[in-house]
Amino acid sequence: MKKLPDHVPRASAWEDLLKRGEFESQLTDHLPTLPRLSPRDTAWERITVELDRQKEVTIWIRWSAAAAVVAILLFSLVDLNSTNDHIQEQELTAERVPDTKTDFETTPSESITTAEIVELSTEDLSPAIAGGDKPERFVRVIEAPKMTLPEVVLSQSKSISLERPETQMQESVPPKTLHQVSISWNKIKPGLQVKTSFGRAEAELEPKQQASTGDLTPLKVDIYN
Amino acid sequence: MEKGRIDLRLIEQVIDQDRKAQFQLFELTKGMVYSMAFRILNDEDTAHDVLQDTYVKVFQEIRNLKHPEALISWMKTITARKAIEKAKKRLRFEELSSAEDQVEDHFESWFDAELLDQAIRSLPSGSRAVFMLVAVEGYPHLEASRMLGISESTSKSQLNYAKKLLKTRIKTLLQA
Repeated sequence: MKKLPDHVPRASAWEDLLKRGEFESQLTDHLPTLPRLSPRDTAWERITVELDRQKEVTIWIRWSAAAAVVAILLFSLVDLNSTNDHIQEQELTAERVPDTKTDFETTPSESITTAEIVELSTEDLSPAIAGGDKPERFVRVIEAPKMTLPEVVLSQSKSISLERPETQMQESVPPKTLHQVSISWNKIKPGLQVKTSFGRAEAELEPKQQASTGDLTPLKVDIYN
Repeated sequence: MEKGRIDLRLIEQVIDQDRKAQFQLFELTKGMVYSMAFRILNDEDTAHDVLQDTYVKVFQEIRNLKHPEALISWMKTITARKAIEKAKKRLRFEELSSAEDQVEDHFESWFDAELLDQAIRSLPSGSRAVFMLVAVEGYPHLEASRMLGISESTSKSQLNYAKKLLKTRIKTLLQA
């Protein structure tokens, strides 16, 4: 038997072996080859059941979303129709009255009320609008009272009547007094008499209307040439 | 490897909601998804819930996937997010100041993948989640910290803590 020649390893073989024996190196070697664990056999069945359940939920959500969208559309359509009807009810006749008929003349000879103007304008409307299929809707015209200024007549007479203006400010009320002074030129009771109301009831002390404040009758002055 | 057997035609069929294609994709990837979910959660029932949620989301939203070649990484991200979502209340990040001192750093042992898997399962929930995301799945610390709702520095320190704990747990498992 022939003896095979011996081969000598490299000098670093032992050091390499020690390095392989280090914890970090062994960790690096063994981590990718960690034993593979297997789940239970029922795992796939559970997954399929869950997938089917999720699919049903998804379909239900989609149908619900579609139904909600349809409901919203229907509701908005119905709401829109009712809003249009409401707007039509509120239509004003001014839309049917041409603007050309609204130029009012305010001369005293042709004083026309608003009611007459509206009647005139509706007469000119076309039959399709005025007497069409749709029921006529009118806004009731409110007749305002005709306002006229009082006529000013200048008389030729020289007599001029002066009236006190009604807007005259009230004169100040004189302060209450318990004394009354009366002056007369009667021969029987000549002289100056002084009456005092001191001690009388309060009702008697009410201020009497004096000629200067209570008399509002117009003064008439006649001037004769 | 799953990526090699998942071709574009299969993905198109899955997009068309073909149930057979969906089942085929499930068979090809269920181990990857369930292993990841189970290692983050360390609970079989919750891991199955995550598995179900993940595939339902994958089948529903695969039509929005812009790059079909990124399907596997996309599925891993969904799994990680679902698992963290489930484990959010249970994740605890231990204070490291006192805990780090108790862990010895020296390690001279040989271990295999199965022993490593057992050691990973024994980690605290917070450091295990960080270790799974960063060390196993390869997420950067920034992304992992965002997923977990922690700071980037916390993610780094929790990873170091997990590695030190793994050394101790592996030693213990080897001695047993």
